[in-house]
Amino acid sequence: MDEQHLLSVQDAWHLVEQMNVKAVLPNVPLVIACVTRAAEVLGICDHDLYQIQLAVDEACANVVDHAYLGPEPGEMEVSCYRYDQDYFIIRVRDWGQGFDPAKVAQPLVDAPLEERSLGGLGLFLVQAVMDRVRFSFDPDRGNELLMVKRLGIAD
Amino acid sequence: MEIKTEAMKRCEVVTVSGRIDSATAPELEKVLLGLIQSGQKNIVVNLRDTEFISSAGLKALLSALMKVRKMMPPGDVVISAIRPELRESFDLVGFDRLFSFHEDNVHAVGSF
Repeated sequence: MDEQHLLSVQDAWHLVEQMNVKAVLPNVPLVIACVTRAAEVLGICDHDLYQIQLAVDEACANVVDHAYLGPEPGEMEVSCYRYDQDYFIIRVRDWGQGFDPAKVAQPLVDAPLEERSLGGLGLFLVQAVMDRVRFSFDPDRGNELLMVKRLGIAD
Repeated sequence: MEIKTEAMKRCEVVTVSGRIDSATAPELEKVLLGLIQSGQKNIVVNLRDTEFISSAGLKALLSALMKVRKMMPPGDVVISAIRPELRESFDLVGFDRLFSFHEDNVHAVGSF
């Protein structure tokens, strides 16, 4: 199913879990635990769950590190949805400054060590393990990262 | 996440257990940096009891590898006893080309 269609049926997404926390690193494991609960309710297999946790960790770390510039941490909202039997959708929302994902360097995964750099690994992994990834930035409604996992067969 | 370090004759063995995520990766980074700064450039990272490693953890390992390889003579960071789910992430980001993997500490330590 393409992304446009999935977005157009948002009203039919079934909310499974949601949490709103301060965007600080110690809360990232709490968010992962919340997403894990949602995934377990849906019977998602261990392999898909591992990949989902990878993506959520990165998405949250990104908000913690980059969304809010001031000394006070802002908020981060994470929502997990099921659509149909096949789709697990995670939305990570913040109300800070956005960023341009196109400006994040792609890691050179085939390069030798001398040509590698430390940047871009997280975003690359999110795109590698999730089936659809969509960023949108809206100064009024907040920034949103949508990640979609097409579910496999449970182990 | 727990980290234990053990000095061997020719290397240091760093045993990580639990989850390496964005919240805990800074601790791993600190331990690795501390070892390198104190002159230890041959490091075995044992991941037998590590259930999860996020990109933050991968970055910490890559950063350590980059540092030791710049030394004269170059050191190395090798991986011991990695679980399949974690190995998949390493492969996805091309770390299978950069790191040596050993099934256990005996082989990993013996490689130095």
